[in-house]
Amino acid sequence: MQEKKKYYKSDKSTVSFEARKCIHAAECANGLPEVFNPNERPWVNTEGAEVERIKEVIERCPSGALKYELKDDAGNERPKTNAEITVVPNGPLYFSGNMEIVDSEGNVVGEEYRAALCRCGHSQNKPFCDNSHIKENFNAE
Amino acid sequence: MQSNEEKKIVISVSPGAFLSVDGNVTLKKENGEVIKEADKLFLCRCGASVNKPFCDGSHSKVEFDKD
Repeated sequence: MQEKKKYYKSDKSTVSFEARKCIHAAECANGLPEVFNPNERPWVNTEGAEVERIKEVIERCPSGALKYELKDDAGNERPKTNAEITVVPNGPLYFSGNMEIVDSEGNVVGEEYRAALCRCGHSQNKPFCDNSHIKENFNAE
Repeated sequence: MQSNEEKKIVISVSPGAFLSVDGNVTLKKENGEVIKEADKLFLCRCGASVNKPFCDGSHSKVEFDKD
């Protein structure tokens, strides 16, 4: 499927958002509401805070729905040196690190540093989580 | 860049089955407790394993056949 991303640009950075990967972990809206405000349009205000703070909050987005790219490449996101998988109770698997995601037909569907992948079996956007575990009452430690 | 390329992990969706993870990873609980450090993992993605987060082959019993 074609990636549908929205881009929010400032002089120093471009923030991108891929709605179909967002699972509303809300790290952004809680961490930096002056930049990420779902009640505003556009909901991302790249002028709302220093670039360093925007970077820090985006790198906490577990699904990878939010990313950024700086004019100065040296400051861009680096993956965690040691890859980690966090098992979220009743929810997805959070992956963090330098990774390639390959779908069931062998196509590379992501070169990512952060991703939330389905483990309840019900996502309509596999292998990515789409929060279907909530309505399916997925129960797992 | 090169060193990170070398450390890339590959996550593959096995049709109707598990997530296969190749490369050195630390599998953790949400509280940070380490479950396992491994170079190869087979993780449940059908939701039916009784040994979650690991695959135990239950996908074949529940006719899990989605992408």
